[in-house]
Amino acid sequence: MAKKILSIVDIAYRATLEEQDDTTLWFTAACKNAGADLTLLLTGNAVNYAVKDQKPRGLKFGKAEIPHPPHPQEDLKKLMEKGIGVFLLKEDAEERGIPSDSMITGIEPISRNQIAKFIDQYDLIWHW
Amino acid sequence: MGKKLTLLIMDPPYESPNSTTALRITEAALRKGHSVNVFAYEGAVSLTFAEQKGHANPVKGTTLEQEQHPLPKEMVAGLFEMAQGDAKLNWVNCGLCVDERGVANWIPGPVRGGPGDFIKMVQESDNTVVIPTK
Repeated sequence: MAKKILSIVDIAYRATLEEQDDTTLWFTAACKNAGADLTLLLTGNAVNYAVKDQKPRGLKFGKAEIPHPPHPQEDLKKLMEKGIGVFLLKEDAEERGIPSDSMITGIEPISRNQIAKFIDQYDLIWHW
Repeated sequence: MGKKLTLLIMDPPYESPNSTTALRITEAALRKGHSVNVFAYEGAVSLTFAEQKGHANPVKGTTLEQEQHPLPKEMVAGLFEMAQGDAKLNWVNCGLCVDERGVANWIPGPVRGGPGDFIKMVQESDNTVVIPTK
């Protein structure tokens, strides 16, 4: 039986312009395609990935440009469509002034006081 | 009988103590007879790049020979030398990460792969440690 894996994404927007996506979200999708049983928890600055109105513009350096800037909120939607549960640490969003109505739908908020019990459901915890 | 450990590493060489920590964990596991899978993701694929070169140290005033600059590729080669018995080392470099960085010329030992290989390693291992870039 596949191991139940919780990926906690805490570091956000690392290399997202060069990669045109988030490397952990990308890796999560690839692992799901390979048969992994994965759940995602956004904490820290990564809670901002859930904000629906992110409009990054492509950068240009002379003739070199980033034609497809990252849209982590769209990548999260695709992960959910693949059957990956996406959770978000409520207090981390509140501390950053991100109201729940500014986020895409389908993400489950959980509180810090629920974390221990939540984590206990998984065989492996990967903290990115 | 030895156990099997899988490590995912992400930091490039010469940037973070995470890299040496991962190599030390690997060394300790092999020394104790356990097999290790390493999945090198993103910058960590450069750990095995064959074109790494030592240099003299103008601040210390040492020559190239005196400096004996430590090279991560040699440390990984040392781990492969250790893994000749029952304790095996399986090192997979993420192929797309290699292409992005142009570091396909690597030392003998590692193989090219992808996240699917990592998930296979995870399923067959006693435990998995992910050491991401922070």
